[in-house]
Amino acid sequence: MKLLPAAATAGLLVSIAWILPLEAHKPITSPYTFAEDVAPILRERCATCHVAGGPAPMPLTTAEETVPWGESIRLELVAGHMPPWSAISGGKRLPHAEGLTARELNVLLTWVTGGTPPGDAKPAPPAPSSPAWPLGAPDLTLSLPEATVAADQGEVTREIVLPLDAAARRPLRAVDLKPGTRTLVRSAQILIKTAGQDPGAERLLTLWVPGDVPIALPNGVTYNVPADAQLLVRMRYKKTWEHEREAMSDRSELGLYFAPQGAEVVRLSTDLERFGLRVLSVYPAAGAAGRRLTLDARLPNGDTRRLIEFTARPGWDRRYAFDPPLNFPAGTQLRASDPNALVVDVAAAPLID
Amino acid sequence: MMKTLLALALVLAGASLLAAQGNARASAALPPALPELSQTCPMHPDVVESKPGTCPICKMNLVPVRLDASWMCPVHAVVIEPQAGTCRLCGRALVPVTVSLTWTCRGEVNAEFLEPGVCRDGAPRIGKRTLRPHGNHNPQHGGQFFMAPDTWHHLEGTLPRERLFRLHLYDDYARVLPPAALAAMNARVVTRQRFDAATRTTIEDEAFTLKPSKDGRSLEAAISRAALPAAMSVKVKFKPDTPEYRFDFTFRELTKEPAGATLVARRPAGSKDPAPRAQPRAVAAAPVETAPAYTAPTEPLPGTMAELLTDLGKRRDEVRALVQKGDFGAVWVPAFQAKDVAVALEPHIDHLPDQARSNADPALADVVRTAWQLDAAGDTGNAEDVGQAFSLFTDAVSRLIGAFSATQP
Repeated sequence: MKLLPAAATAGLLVSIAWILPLEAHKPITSPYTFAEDVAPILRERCATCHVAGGPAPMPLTTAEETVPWGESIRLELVAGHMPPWSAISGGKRLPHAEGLTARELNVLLTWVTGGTPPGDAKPAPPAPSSPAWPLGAPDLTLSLPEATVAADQGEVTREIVLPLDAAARRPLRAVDLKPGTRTLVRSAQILIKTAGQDPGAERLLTLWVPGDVPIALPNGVTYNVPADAQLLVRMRYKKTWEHEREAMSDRSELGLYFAPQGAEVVRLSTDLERFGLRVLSVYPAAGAAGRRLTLDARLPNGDTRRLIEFTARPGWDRRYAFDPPLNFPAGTQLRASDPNALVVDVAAAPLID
Repeated sequence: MMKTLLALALVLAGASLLAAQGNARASAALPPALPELSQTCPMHPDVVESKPGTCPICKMNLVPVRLDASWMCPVHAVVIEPQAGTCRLCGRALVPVTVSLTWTCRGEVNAEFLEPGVCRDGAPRIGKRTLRPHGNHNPQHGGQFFMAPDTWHHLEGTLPRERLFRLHLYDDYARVLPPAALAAMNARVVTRQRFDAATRTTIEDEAFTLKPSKDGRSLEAAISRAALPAAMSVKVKFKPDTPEYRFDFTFRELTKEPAGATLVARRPAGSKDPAPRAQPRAVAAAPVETAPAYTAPTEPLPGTMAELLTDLGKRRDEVRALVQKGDFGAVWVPAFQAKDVAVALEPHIDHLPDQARSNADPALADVVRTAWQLDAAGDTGNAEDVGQAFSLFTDAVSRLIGAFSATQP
């Protein structure tokens, strides 16, 4: 909320701050400006989605675009809703999953409540353009059939089964999704499914959400693809308020990245205690939305390390990949706060680096 | 044109109400340099942009407004001055408010301009300062002032006598609500209550219905003698179909109407303002506490890691003391100072061992986030919200201190 043209009245407001009665609201004057302080944070941390034509309905690349959303930004940040997948703990080993730093949060909150001063109106540098395929050109591209969302529909989920021909049945190091209509595709699950398989045994390859950056498996680790495998894609489409009552369509693509033969990724198994293990990633199981999840490693010497702690935000399921993976000696026990709510992907050591 | 008319409608609506409240006109003195034009929504005055456009909430066209900081008498809302000082009518200290600046002409009822200039009759336009919504959140009767979650109603609780609780209600311009609005409210003051863990409900052991005062300008209730410090909650439904809101007051002493020491001497001859009765002379002024200074620092605070950690603990203790005293309106100051310490500590985490860093990293951001939660909760005066925010805040501070302390020799 901009109360006053900050540059003109900063001095006055500072003096006011000294004499306000205790119970009064306080005029906080932001020493931070959009141009100098806020824009770099938004560009670095938010512009993947909050950009014109992006999945978020409000671009936040200029002061003019951002100021009217000041109060919304305050509410989202104070509630911890944005960015939506912040790992509460995990440090630098979880790239692309960190929340805002203390300084970034403070700058944004001070600015939105302190007059939203624009600063020097220098032309904003262009928002970073995300490559269509962040992992590089895929080894194989598969087009999904066109999906339409009718004018009277707001959110729909579609399941698509893609058969894999012999050329595609190879070990994988990553599967990525390139959304056709960025403002419509809200999330996607990509799984391996085999004929006659129990649905619960579907093998998850990818959890895609807007703004996430895919991380491929390290060398020597693969998702194996059985001979009768198919790809199951669950696409969740949701319109933003800008497109309510509009019919929309999407034609997304999958990018497959093949890997040389290697150790297969497996879900956490007690058998692994006998071996050294490498923790690759974790993700919330179905039904875990809204729960606070933790994963600890108890080392053979008795020390315990917290590997990750996060709250699974409904609608924003994603995979938290450790990069590089975490190596543990034989005898290490992994303990999830709720083994049924957290899936841990590990690979047995030794591995080829 | 439509935008201008809407802006003027807003300004005039405020002006007419102010005019109805008193017989003095706001000072025409205006600063030589005009504040920049801003753009605001006629329906959502919290939306203020620097350029024309549409309201992100309701899509109405934004309208221009010229905002400025001014000083207003806490009692005589018509007295709005460009500088700090005392009220021309009663001598009370003026309080800071946000106003919109417009210019009018004598005899031209609908003329309202955003710039100074010359009227049709050749006379210079007359400057006017009109209070903006939420421009004044100052207690007007020496009590505790809160904003309701609907962000329109504002209220102030006072304890003028040991057996009397009074509730003053205002709109978003801090104007006293009309008697009819007060009479339609369903409000009570709860002086004794307890939380029953078994049923997870609050049981009120002693509550008093708040009824309109004789002059109709406030709600009040005769309560049992309040032992100081006295904690009590107001629970109010502003209208039958609105939710019940709770506001928690703590009075360390009986409240006193703010009064200037030179009250009588400054009252202009012929003023209709009644002379105060039975007011002790010279010492009549209620103790006006001044907020501890807080300005957002532009650079992280200086200090060693140990000094910063000590400071952080001190700020947490200050927040705790204020929360325990029920001084919710003041909580934001040490909370903000604590988050500034967290920002200053952030560069130090690079030197922490892996595990300590993993613990400190999220705690840093949580201290900042929860400090702002405390700020927001303190504004609305709900003890439960303040308590929850404080619990999260103190947890984050403890985690942060713990993470750093583990590395200290």
